[in-house]
Amino acid sequence: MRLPQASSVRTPPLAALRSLVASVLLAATLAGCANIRTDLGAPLAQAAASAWTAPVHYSKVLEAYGPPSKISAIPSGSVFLYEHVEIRERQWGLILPGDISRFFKFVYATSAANTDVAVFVFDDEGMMTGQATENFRSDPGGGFSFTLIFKIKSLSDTDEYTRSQEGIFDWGMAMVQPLPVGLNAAQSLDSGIWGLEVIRVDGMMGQRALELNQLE
Amino acid sequence: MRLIVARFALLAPLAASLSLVACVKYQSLDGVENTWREIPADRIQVGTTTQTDILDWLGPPSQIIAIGEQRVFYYLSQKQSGQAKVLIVWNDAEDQTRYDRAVFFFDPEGVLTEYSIRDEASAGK
Repeated sequence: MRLPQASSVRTPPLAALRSLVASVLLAATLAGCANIRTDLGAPLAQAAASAWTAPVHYSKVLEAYGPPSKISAIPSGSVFLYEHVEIRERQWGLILPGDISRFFKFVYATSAANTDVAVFVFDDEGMMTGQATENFRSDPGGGFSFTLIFKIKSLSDTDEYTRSQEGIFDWGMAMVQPLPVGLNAAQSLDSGIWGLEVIRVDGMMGQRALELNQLE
Repeated sequence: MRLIVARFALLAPLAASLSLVACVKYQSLDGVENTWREIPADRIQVGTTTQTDILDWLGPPSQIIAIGEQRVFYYLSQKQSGQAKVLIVWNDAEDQTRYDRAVFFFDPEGVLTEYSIRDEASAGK
């Protein structure tokens, strides 16, 4: 019996290259990435807003920026709030090798939110007494997931951003609020007569603390 | 023959990934009925138009806000649209929300003092 020589079992360079290409293609097929963009509202002209100096009548602000995202009365007058939010989420997915790949797809996701805010405060004559603009980045979150069927789905918690305008459509819901919220309606920042809050303010801060949200 | 099979095995994953593509497109509309785009712009006149006129023309507002003795009618229409490309290896989704707003300020007598209308979709970036 003749044993094979070492040179005859060595993988030829061309075959090795093919195996490498096949592995890369296979990995590319089993792996994937997703890019999810969410854009709420139109971007603000922050440079122009920050250049304004008091006193300016509120009609000039309306003329320049249109209707604000939120309007509220305050004891000394009124306040306009303009907001724009852009959320970008990136996901990397991989189908695991072996039997487990028949059931699960592994996904890792990260995200970032870019928020533009402009606030204009007016006295009871409608003249601007102060204004501020800011652009800030925040992290809506990320995470891992296992899914049974391939699907593009956000893994970020964007409810805090999207609720900002949708709350307008919740008329009548104030009647069925939890007791701590109802009892403190006079301090509510959602009514439009006691002030307002910038998007993504924690539900347990400031006036919101009166609503005892952590107990819900 | 073996060479053909080997090449097929090499290209099969790529062909499979290209054949499993899909796309998604969706759109939704929320808020009050957008009637402020239908009335002529010169019909709304500061100093003469009343809140009764605005209610007749535009219907119930999204919000009525009290600022001192002033009243503010706030109309909001929200349009959400999105699309996604599912290419298995690389996927891309885009969701865009644009607001069309109209806001009207009235004095204690209910006469229009200021107003502003803006459609973010047409205003662009």
